Amino acid sequence: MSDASPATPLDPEGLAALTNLARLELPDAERAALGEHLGRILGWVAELDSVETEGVSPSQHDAPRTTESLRPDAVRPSLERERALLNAPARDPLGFLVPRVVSE
Amino acid sequence: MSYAWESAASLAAQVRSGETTARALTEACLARIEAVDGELGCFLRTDAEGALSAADAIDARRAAGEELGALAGVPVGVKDNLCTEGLETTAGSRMLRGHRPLFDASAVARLKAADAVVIGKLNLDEFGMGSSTEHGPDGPTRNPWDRTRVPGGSSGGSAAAVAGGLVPLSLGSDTGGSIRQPAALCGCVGVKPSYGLVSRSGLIAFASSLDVVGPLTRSVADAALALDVLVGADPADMTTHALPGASPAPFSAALEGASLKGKVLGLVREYRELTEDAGVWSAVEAALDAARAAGAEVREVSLDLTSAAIPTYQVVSTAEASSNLGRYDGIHYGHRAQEAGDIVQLMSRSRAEAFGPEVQRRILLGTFVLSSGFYDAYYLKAQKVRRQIAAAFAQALEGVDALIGPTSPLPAFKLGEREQDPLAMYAVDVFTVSTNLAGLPAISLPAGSVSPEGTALPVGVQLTGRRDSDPALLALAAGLEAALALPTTRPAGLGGQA
Amino acid sequence: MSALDAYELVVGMEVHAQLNTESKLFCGCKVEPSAEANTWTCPVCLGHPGTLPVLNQAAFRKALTLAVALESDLEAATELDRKNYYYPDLPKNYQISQIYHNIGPGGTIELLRSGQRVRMHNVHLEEDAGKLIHEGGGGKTSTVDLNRAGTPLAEIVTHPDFRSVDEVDDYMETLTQLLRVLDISHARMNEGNLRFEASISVRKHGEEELGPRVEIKNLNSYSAVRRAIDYERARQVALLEAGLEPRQETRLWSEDWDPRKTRAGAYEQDVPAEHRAPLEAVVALLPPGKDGWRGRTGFMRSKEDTQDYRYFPEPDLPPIALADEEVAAIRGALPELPGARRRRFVESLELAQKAAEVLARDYDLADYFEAVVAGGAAPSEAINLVLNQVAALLNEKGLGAADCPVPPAWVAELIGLMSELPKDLVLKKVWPKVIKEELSPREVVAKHTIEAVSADAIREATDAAWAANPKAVADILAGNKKAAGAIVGAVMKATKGQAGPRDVNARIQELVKEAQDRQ
Repeated sequence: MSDASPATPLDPEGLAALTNLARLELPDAERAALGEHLGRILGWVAELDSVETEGVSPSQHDAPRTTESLRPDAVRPSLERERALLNAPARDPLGFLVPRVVSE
Repeated sequence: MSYAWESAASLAAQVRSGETTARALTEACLARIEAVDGELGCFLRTDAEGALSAADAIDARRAAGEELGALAGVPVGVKDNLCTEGLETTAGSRMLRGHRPLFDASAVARLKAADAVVIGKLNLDEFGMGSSTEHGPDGPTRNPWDRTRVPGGSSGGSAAAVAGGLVPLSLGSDTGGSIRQPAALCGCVGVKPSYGLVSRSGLIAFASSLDVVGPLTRSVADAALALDVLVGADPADMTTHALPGASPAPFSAALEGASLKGKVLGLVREYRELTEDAGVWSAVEAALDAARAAGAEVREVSLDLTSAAIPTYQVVSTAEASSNLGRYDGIHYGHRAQEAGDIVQLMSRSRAEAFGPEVQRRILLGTFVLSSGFYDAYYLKAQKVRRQIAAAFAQALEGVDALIGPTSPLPAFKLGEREQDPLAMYAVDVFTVSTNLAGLPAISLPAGSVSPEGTALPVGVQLTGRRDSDPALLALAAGLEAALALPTTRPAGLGGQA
Repeated sequence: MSALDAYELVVGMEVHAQLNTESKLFCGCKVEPSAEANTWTCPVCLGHPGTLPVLNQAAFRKALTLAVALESDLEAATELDRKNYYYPDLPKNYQISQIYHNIGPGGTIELLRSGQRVRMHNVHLEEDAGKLIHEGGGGKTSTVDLNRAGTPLAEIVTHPDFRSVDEVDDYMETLTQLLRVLDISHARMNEGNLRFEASISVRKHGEEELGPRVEIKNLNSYSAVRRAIDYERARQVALLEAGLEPRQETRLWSEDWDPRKTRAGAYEQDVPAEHRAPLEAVVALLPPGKDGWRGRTGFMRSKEDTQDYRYFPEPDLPPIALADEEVAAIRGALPELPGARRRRFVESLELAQKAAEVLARDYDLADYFEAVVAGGAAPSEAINLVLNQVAALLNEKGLGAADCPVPPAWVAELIGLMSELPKDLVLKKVWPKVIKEELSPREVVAKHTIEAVSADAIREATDAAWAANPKAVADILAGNKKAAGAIVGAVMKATKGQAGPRDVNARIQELVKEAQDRQ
């Protein structure tokens, strides 16, 4: 299944693409209700179209920082491996275990 | 039991003076939780060993003649989306069952540095997503005033624990009203600081540009005490900044001599129609009368983008959440599906098994609004509308000291009442989401009650101020609190009548 | 190959360079290419819940320096963005990168060999992912090592301005040199701190529109880049000649593809069997990889499978201002860039192209050369000595020019001596003693009383040797040129080696002529 963008979340194909993109495996029984719910929210969100935003910048950040205020490049102690792997659900002596991944 | 309804300030003073010990307070607190919390469901877990050990250390330092911090010995509860080192932190989700953080959230560390004692972790809506604290894997928290009703959310456990006299101070988080709305529904004080004043390091992220950490207490003065400890720039969080012109304890200083005389409050015209419950509006009007009697002027102002706030919030918060929650994949920490084939299946199944339905809905919506082809129409558009909303607030705040209105359009609703219709649930945030979008400070304080079925249910009134005007806002709230002069009432059946 | 010649090759390059900072981009963990997995991590680079990124100042400044050196169109501020995708070596399942307001948009680079100016598309900052270890998993599992996760990277992207493998080669060399000279990256491909990707298309000469673009990954050496481009070009031409169109896709370079070991269908599928002959003919002309098998590109991912990264501005990091003063200071402090250096050596100092390239590649040697010139030597003489005598010395001792035991001033002095003494004498007698005795050339001359043998003395000695070696003379007159060596040798002996062989040979020629005239 590809990670390309969904057509729309409302049709079954779009919803399938969306759940794949979000890595959420959904049982078929739930899909219809979910599709409907998303459709309602998107309809509601469409209200935003009526708000005038010509020329408005979308940036939310406060004023830019200076480079002087950035973190100095100093090394700080790292975790010991056992502590780094403390919460790992599956591990071997060296690291986190995953099913064999091919390529890249 | 005597500590239950005392203020944090008073308890800290008693520990510092030697009238009581941190240990005694901690033991009393743990015992009360044991006795009473079964009915409320505030605490997901308590850390008796850690708390007693911390209390003993504080007492030892006092015995050695050292000066203790501003919250000396005060038992506090921490919302379970704030990391506590070594103490299980789940964000109210199956996904993080058993997760033990390797570090304390900065806000928690500051409380500890002020000698507060962390008693345990408080219930919440999963990952902060919700307004009722009903649906988590560990069951609902109940409103202390009426156990058939919700405490609000997502910081429901934090509000109920304070309102129920289990702790005088708790930490919550607020992304769209999650501190203020439960504070209003439970009849306590809840503060949402200006964005960037309290560090988010260690807060398990929901929506990064909206999330803030804040205190819940039973008085404005206690909130000020807590904020003096919590507020400050943190090198671990690049979105923080220092309070402009800060003195050592700016909040407590601002409260000295606080009064409403000569202050101007702006009542938002559009809010009346949006207040579902007539009783709530009456309580707000009564609060306005009290304010006027104390010398304040009340002016009507307009916020014409009010109806755009919730859709804007939906788009922005779910987009950021979909990205923030991407890290939960069963590989580095958290829940991992037992049966899965390849890596894609492993991730997808782990997430589907461990996230609740509301979280899944929001992740999907957020993923959609960021996706190629829709990003401009949804996310970018919403961010632009957000700027307009902030501008609308700035304009409404011109010439007034703060905006005033109800915190929640209705009092605490019954458990299960709004479950079926998520959109109905979102609507309760109408008065709170826009302050997160604009990054402004806001506080909810008790303003009387309504009794739809005989039981008194708290009503909260909300004050909203200009960005970074937090100490002045608290002062105003203190003035209003004094003007309201509400009689002290306690929830029934939890011990400790007035 | 006439088929290949009918098409124009179009290549763009994308490079990931690890910045040589002490700590990672967003946390204080050491940047350490250590063998011990998962020993250089912390909650931030592990992506633990509740963690936030904190930007490394040195990494930022290095990326900015690169942008300035490449003459980017800097904006007033730069921003970071999230690139969302799921992969086990990416702890947050998003990479903090840049797309909307890169630190270095646009720009150009002057290539060090040809002087060609290549247009840059952008330079931006991003964090590296961890690694997957496949060994030891029995084919069923892989292990994730997050040591590398969070290492600072500069991604450097060009426009598709390259038209030949040589141009790409020139670029790779220039960029490598630039990164080192600016002290931004160790830039060693074999250590993993430099990774190249090529985007390749072909089109008929004269066509304006670009053909479908194929991205090639897994290029682990400079020669792999060259071979992959050659191969991919041949593959695309073969397709076009067969009447098919290359697909826009991503392919992996495989260094030694053994057709016997690859399962059926894994071979690049595009070129149908009946059209493969021309492709095979082209491939057969490519230099073989190790084990004698040639490399191939293989299909990895189609355009339709391209991921939707859902880029949006990173809410946890504020924009960073690019202050005019800071930028000006960086610009003022830039060293001479490799392309500019080569050009100056050719244009101002009139060095030969090849010599200028050598110096543009070795900045220490170039500095040494310029110091010799500053000491009074003519550039054309200085370059000769630097590229021959000095280079030989450094090679023998295994030293870089910065550690040369002979100071440049002495080389200048040596060159000065060559206008007073015979050149051969200076190079063969004085120079070795300068090295061995660690004395300046003039000190050597004084100590060993090396003098030019006067023209009269040379003539006398040559005449004497001529008279004393009748057999040699007879051989010379008979046309055996080598026989002159005996005369020269005798003169050398007589003058203790201080006669210039050229002068001796000149006298011998005169004597030969005299003898021939007599006959």
